[in-house]
Order: sequence, then structure tokens, then C-alpha cells
Amino acid sequence: MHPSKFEEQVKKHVESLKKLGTENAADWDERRRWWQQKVTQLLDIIDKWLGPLIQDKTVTFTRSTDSITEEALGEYEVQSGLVQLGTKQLHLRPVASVIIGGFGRIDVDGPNGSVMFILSAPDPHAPRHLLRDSAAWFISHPKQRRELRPLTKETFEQLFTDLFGIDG
Amino acid sequence: MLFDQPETLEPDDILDWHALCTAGLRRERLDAHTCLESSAPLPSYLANALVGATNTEIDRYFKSCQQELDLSAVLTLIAGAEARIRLDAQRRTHPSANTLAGRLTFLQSQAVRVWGVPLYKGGILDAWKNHVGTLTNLSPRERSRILTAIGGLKDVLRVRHWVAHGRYWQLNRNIESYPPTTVAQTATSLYAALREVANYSGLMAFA
Repeated sequence: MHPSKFEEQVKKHVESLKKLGTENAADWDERRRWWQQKVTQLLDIIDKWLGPLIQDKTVTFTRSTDSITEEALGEYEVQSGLVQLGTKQLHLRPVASVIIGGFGRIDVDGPNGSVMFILSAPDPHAPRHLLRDSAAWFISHPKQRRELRPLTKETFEQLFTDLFGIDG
Repeated sequence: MLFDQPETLEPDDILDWHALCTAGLRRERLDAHTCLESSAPLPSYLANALVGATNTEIDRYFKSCQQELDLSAVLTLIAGAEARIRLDAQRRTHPSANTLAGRLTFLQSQAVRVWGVPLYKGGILDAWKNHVGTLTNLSPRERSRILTAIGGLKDVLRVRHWVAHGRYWQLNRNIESYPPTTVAQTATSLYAALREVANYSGLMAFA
């Protein structure tokens, strides 16, 4: 017996969903790898910025592996960082790649407060396919969340002293 | 303003407003999710708290907004009921008209401020309940139903105090056990009961 027009219609729809799902899964796999790399690269940079303090044992910077689950990316592992200064600690915990207004977020929690590192395109109006390639890290403060300041060696050093409560 | 005429404010008016705001919240939540899916910047009309938010955080944020909206509606419903009961009591200040009017007149004359007269604990609604006790033309079942409706506001008054005083103590019950529709029903049943009592006793209609 031949399938009815209705049955064919439903089967065709299911096939197209399967195809779309496979394509999306491939996109998200790539996105997850890209995000994991971005986090590792940032931790490498921070390691370098803290280099002299690490060498003379003023601070330690250790990394561990965290597990994250996101609806689109599934469950995956990503590096996190911990800066130890005396008895005080500064945690750098990746939260997610799929976020509003960017391509990833790391929460930074210190004894004197918290900020977010947001991986975002400097020009949000750039063509969509170029947005992710241009993404860079920014700092977002809890009281001025929209004001994203570029994360540089200077802004990181300022942040470090603020979050550890180190006076001038 | 929407709710500044307590004499004519009906619970359904407040529920209408609540439904409108709920629809607005749903739309904003949808916009936030659209923004998340496209990695687009947060539009200026969406809350700052959503910068960098994940899927779960968006949902949690809007759930909290909905709870705050529900509480505002509940507060307006209870405050509206309280105003209506007090305004009605002020219209009944004729010492010799009947026992209810006599009691209400006495309560208001004793208070330094009109809003200082309690609703329960020997106050306005207890005066109504005592008056129900004097009615001879009510069956025990009707009497019990009316007394339950008049007493129904007592429980939700706890929520009114808790919200109005800045929520600095722990409520005994979960706040979600007082949804606006339930509180609106409590106010509507109370008004209906007071109308019935006034009608049974040949008193001036409840405002």
C-alpha cells in the first residue's frame, strides 16, 4: 500500500529536521572546540601576565578542568584557573559559550568582589559571519554590566588589585 | 492612574493589568532568547542584568520578574480590598441605625487615624462577623459559608504586611501559595458575602 500524501508530508518533514539537526550538531561541535581553545588561550595569557609574580612565588596560578553543560553544546570539559595570593584566592570559572551579547563568559570571583570576562565582537554591527572571528575579551562589572572594557594587561592588573583588595 | 479609585476598583481590573504585564514579560523573555541564539548585543530596553546571561539565567531572571509582578498584583488586590472595606465602614457611621453601624462608629471614634482601626482582632470585619451571628434568617450552612468568606482576607493580610514592610521576616507559607487569581477570588468572595449580609439585614448595600 502506498503512503498517503499526509504520511509523505510528515516523513519529509522528519527527514528535513534530521538533516538540520546533523548540520547544527556539526556547527555546535566546532563552536565548542573554538570556545575551549579561547578559554585555554586566555588562561595562557594570564599566566604570562602573572609570570614574574609566579616565578618569585608571590602568587601561584593553577588550572583545573571543569565540566559544563549547555543546551546547545551539550556536556563538555573546559579549563578553569585559580590565582592564590597568600590565603586569598581568585577564581576564573568559565560559565558558558552561548550567552547574550557574546560568544562566551568567564566569571571571576575574588575576595573583594566579582566581574565577568565576556568574549564579544568589538563591533556588534559587523557582518554576522565576521562577528565571531573578531571576538575579543572584555570586562563587565556588576554595577555597569553594559560598559565592556577591553581586557588588557593594564586592565587585568587593575582588576587583580581591586579583587584582592590591594591598596595603591 | 489605573487603580486610584478604590470605591470602584474590582479584582478583575487588577487581574487584567497583571495579564497585560505578564504578556509583556513573555515577549521580553522571548527577545532575550532570540538575542542569545544570534549572539546579538543586548537591546537597550532589556535589563542590564541580562548582559552575558546564559539560557538558564534568562529563564531564572524572568521567573523572578514574574514572581515580583505577582506580588505587586497581590499587594494591590489586598490593599484595594482593605480600602473598599474601610470606605464602606465610614459610610455606616450612624450610631443608632443598627448594631453593625453602632460598632463601626464606636471603632472609628476610638481610633486616632481611620486606618488605625483593625480589620480583624475586634475590628471592622469582626464587627461584620458578629453581625452575621445576630441574623436569624440564615441556615447554619449559609452562616458558615459567609463567615468563611469574611474571614478569608485574614490569611492574605500576612502577605500584604510582609511585602509592604520590606519582607524582612520569613513568611510561614511559600509565597507561591498566594497567586493573584486566588487572592482576587478571596476579595471577590468577601465582597459578595458582605453584600449578602447587607441584603439579608436590610442594611445599606456594601460599597
